[in-house]
Amino acid sequence: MKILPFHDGIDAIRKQLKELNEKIESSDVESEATGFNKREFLNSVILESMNESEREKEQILNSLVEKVCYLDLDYKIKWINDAGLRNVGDKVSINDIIGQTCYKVWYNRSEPCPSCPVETTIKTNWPWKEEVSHPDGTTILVSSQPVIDDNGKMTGTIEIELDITMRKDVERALERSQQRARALLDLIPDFLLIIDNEGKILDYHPAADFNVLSNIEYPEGRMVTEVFSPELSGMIMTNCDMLTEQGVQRNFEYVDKSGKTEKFYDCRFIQTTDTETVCIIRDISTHKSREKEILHRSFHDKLTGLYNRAYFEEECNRIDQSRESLPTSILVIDVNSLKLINDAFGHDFGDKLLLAVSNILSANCRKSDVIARTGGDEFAIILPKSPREKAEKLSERIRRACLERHFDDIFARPSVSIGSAERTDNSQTIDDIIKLADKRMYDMKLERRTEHLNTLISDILNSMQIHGQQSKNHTENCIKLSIDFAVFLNLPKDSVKKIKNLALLHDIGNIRLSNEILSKSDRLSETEYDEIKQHPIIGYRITKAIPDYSSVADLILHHHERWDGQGYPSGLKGKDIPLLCRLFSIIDTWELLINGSTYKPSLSFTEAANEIRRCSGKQFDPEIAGRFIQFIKEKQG
Amino acid sequence: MLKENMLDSHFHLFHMKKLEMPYMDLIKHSFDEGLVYALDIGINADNFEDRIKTAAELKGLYTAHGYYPSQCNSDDLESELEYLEQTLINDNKAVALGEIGLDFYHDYGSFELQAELVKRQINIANRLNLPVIIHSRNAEAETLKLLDENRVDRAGIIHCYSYSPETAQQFIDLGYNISFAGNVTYKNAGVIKESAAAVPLDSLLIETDAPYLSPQMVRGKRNHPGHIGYTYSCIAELRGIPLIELIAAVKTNFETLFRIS
Repeated sequence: MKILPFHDGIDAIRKQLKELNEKIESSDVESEATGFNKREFLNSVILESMNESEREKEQILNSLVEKVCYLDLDYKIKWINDAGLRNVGDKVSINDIIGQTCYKVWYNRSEPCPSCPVETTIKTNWPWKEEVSHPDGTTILVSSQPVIDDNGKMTGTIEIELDITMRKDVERALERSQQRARALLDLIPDFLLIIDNEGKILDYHPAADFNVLSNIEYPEGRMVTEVFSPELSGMIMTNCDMLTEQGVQRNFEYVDKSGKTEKFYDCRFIQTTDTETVCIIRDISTHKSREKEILHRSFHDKLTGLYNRAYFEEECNRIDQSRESLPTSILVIDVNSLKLINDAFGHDFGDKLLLAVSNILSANCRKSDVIARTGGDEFAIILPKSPREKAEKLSERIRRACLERHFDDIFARPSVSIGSAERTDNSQTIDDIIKLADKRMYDMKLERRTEHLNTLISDILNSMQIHGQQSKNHTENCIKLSIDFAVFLNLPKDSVKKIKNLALLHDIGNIRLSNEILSKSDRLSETEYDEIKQHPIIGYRITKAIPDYSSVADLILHHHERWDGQGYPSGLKGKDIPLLCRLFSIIDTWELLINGSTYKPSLSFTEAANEIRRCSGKQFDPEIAGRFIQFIKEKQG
Repeated sequence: MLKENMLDSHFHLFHMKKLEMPYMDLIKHSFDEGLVYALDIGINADNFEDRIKTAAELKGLYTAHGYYPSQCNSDDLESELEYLEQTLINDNKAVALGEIGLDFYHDYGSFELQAELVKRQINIANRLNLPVIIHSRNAEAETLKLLDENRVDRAGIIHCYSYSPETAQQFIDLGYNISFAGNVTYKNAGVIKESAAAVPLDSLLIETDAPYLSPQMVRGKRNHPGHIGYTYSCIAELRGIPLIELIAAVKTNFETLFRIS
């Protein structure tokens, strides 16, 4: 029977046998005479020695904490050590359980335990082991070894059981802790390196964009210098060298300029032991570009890209405390009539105008000048090392550039009021200088207000004619007819002037209408017609804000009202419609009937007169329509 | 858990050494724990002597020698190939030529250069009647075509297999065995898992590719042959067969391919 190698015992037996043989061989005692039989003696000595050896083996096996039992091929116990026996009960003797199955004795089962390795060993002749978990929470490491006889036939198995519950608990706790650590590492976008003092990478945790910094697939075991660029590895090693104490941290920022766009990395170090440093490298490019954007936004105006008020004030504070840039001039620039423009044309157009002004300012200033948009319609320029004369020259250049600006895209030329002031010594605060420039700007604005507005109106009318939003002939004919008719009716002078302006500006609101709608010969859709109906309102807004024309704003608003109340925008009826509007609506129609329009071909005098008659009492005031026919007839002579 | 008669059909003992792992303790312990065979793979001429010596000391440790695609730019290919052939002849434990192959994931060199190195080594394998160990990354069609046009008498292994089950069958038709590494255990290894479930049991081998590709359960730790049990368990589960059946089949496949009894 081969159970376990037991070399010491067998060696001892061999030694004793050798000694005995030598003793017997050298003995001169005659066996026959004395009855001493050498063979029998030898056998008794062998047996005694064997028993001694078995006892020793048993003692050793009994001293083990593992349960050891020798099973036959039917799982029946042939021998068991003390640890195995203790497991059954204190009072049980080995003879009580020999011949019983191990699963019955230890686990009170009627069949082998699930995943018992003995089954595998019996099937395959292979040694086998399994960690077997029992319902009571214990985990047993069970291993089985085949017992092979001299003919190579398996006669049984040695089953060894070791309670590893505690070890498994510790392993599980460790595994949980490792899983948490792994999950944490997986969650963080950084990559992590553990490096030794020589710069060898002992361990790493890759990040998604690791290959941006290195194309080495397995950096573990390599030197930092092999894995990263010379610049980055140099920075890593310098920082590692500077860490002299455990727990002390260092960090630096690395900028990778090798790619199309700059990448920024935050590299942090902490020494964990005398020989190891943990390094975390985080991609902070997005954060950096946001930071840059926020910084840019906090000091720049979004629309024009110029500096904003915050930057301007900061710059003013800086200048206040410095003598370097003296003399310093300040220009305060205000875009004229921006509110009117925004109201009349919408903020998109106002923004376009502001952009046009900002471009003019940038084009006319030096690099060292600080141009800022300090308010909705206000700009300011700091001109370091510039006396006021220079600032005035610049003002003139800007004004001229505004006047020369083509207005294909912006309906009207930008118009600005500018005030300037200079700071020649430190006793003047920059605030006072700004206030002075501001005052000069307002003075100029007031002085030229009417001029600005009239320029604006004439620009708009020009623009409309250029873009085909209003026919020059129609306007001129209407003006002429209006004046003549007003005179025919003996209207007061003031009314004649008003109807002239009404004729001039009645369709100024068309500036907001697209050419597609204005030139459409097909029937307009409901939405398009709604848009058309907006033009008296827009015209009203524009003219209301201009002193010279504000008196006709109401007339412009109502020039499309009808006698029967079916007109727009207010649906006024009968004599609620201002007289000049009732009058002008006939002239406007007559002019289009006689000269034709996009919608209708021209009519003969009689046809047109019949049309006016037909619409009398519906579209037109019947009394005025009658007088108009009379007026026209007289005019025809 | 490492079980009796499991084997590792592909690992790099001296890469473990390079990473300062206790490589001898780890391999010896793995054999003590039941590992029956392990095939130490070379990728270049480094450590030929040491690897041969180490294999001679350990009963279940076998070797394969060959030049990886990264070696395709060598200036002195002739003498290096001669050295390889001589090494394979002199090493009693050398059972294969490898790893060799095509890799277009890395920038190792043109197809022509890499293919030439493979062809030259296949010639050596056929002269010495040895199987070959094939590395193929991002080079599915090219590898199939190359191996079809350059037949190996005793075929060999497509190691660390990462392509589809259909492609696996095409390699098997050329006489190759398919070996799966720790990446089959990864959660996102869809196609590798499909292949590991589909490859016929008599063409299947299992490897660690240590010290790389640690299985999911020990991901983040350095890999070694003692971790092979995780991949065995994963594949047994994928195929729905008892672990013991898989162990026996893989052992038979390894012994048959390398003529080990």
